[in-house]
Amino acid sequence: MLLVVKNLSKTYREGETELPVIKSLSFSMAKGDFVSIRGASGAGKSTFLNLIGALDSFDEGDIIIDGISLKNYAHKEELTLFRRDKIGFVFQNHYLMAEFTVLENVMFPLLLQKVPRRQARERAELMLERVGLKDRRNHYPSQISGGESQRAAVARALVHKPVLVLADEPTGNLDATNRKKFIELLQNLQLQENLSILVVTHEEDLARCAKRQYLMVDGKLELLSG
Amino acid sequence: MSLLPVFIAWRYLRGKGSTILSLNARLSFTGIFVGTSLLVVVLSIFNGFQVQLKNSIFRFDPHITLTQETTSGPEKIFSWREYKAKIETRLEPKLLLVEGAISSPAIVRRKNLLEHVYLRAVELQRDPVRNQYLLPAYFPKIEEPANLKTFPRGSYCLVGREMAWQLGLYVGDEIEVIVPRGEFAARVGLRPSLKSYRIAGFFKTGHYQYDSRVVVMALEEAQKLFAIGDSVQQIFIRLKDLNELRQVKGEVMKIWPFSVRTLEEEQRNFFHALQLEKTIMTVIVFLFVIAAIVGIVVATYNLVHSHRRDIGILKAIGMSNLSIMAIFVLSGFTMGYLGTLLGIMTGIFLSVHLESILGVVEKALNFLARLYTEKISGGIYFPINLIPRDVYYFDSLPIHIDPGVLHQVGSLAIVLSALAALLPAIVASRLEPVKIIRSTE
Repeated sequence: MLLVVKNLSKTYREGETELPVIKSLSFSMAKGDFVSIRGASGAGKSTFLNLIGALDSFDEGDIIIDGISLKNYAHKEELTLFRRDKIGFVFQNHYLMAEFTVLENVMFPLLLQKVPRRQARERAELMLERVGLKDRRNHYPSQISGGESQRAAVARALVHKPVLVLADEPTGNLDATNRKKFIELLQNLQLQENLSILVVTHEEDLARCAKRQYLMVDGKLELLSG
Repeated sequence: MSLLPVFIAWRYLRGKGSTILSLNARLSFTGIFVGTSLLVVVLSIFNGFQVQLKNSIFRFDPHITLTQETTSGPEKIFSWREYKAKIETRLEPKLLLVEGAISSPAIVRRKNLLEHVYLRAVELQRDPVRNQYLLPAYFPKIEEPANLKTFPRGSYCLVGREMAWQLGLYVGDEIEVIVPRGEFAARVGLRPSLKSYRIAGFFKTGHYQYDSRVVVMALEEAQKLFAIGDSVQQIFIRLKDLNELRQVKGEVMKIWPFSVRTLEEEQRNFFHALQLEKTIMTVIVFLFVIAAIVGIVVATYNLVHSHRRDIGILKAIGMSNLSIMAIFVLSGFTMGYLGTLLGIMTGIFLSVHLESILGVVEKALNFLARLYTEKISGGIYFPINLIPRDVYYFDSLPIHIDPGVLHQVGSLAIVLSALAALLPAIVASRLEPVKIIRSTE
């Protein structure tokens, strides 16, 4: 299994108020799986994704990715390195850095892995070609559309070949046309590259693309299909 | 650590597109630039004044003075030639000159004007051909007659240029010099000794106190005036290298069993006052730099705040806390470094050309003032003089650019810039990516 989640629990605490978000949740995903999780706002989808992506810490249980338990990492810096090498993120906002061109933005994950600049450039250009943004590589994020920005964000998430791609409401800010294009792109890339993708969304058309679909209700997962 | 933080920091400073620096960076850069430029100019002027004053003092005054002090003042030194020879033999390579001298308060009378002065009499070489004294090499410039190198033996003296102006003296005029003579007696007090001297020339040391108060004559003439035979009141020592002042003093003390005082000790209060003045001015101007450093803190905080999303995504995709910190420290450091470097260069340029710049400003102000008074107000026009020479007592604005001071100013400003950026950088490195992403989604 690529991803194993065992009895995961997470509670947010603010003063004396406690808000349990994930409740003893177990889940697994094989390599090449495309899984979607739907749910209402506040159901805990994004929190679940952040826990798997080692962006947030959990209270109980364990997460094992590519055979490595996140419990093994005592320091946040170790988790940062883990994210760098294993995870690719796509968020609702594209989070492209405004002072850098599209190409430079896509090069960052490779440069962080200390891939030589020239090689990083070549790989980033190839990736941009795959998402249909080769001509836009020298544009700044403010010079491209929202749909193109989100495609660039996908290119940045995949360029370093992560074992797991986590997408949090990736079509949340897109109009119907761009959403359709984006879903097609994600499906094609998943098939061609045999990507392991976990996407959380409240949009049905995106959720339906996945081989397995879950519904998150009150911090627990219910299998809908697959 | 890779060069990625350097790349990101530079791009943040540069901003989007082809601008040289972002607005944030430009403001911080300007603060540091103006602060260091001003600091360099002010310090160069103060150093210039200090160097000029010190040079005039060290050139005119003896570096070490030996006296045989008693409770009633300096005793006559009869065996001075013997001690002079001993000092010369023992310390020859370090010495410029050892000479017997008389330095005493005196009164100068010119017609009805009385002026208290200091009489300084030193050994003067005689011209082997003419019946004249040769002025020593260390002696300050003679203003009138220009380039005077000798003056007649007999009752002749040299006075400072300022004293000549104050008493209305011309070369060849006579003055009366009155000095205390002999022992103090309870019934009659001190008997004065009085003699007329002809003015051989006017000297200028560049130090007002000397130029307005000192009368110089040959030792043998003063010995006659004081009626002390071949004795002297002091032995003056001049050194080749003033850095050896304390060391030579120690060695002289082994030879001379009485009072040995260096020029630094004689003029301690004066030098301390100069230093205090410079320190206060440095502190005041350095506040400009501190204000600029505060500007860097604010600018770096702004930079962190406006790039919170970037910090979030960079941490999410695997950039370490140290690298995040490096981005913002480098940003602050670069603003400080560029500002300091250009500030110092501009400061040097302004210092070197300050006199010309002030001249241009003075001309412009005078032009405008004349235009205003003649065309508009019709009043009387008084020319503006930004630095009146007669008040400040120099021929040209004294500027001394000390590389050591520049190095200190530069290093301090650069280090403080990096330190100023450190706090916002630490804040940036501690931001939680998940919180940033949650707050911006």
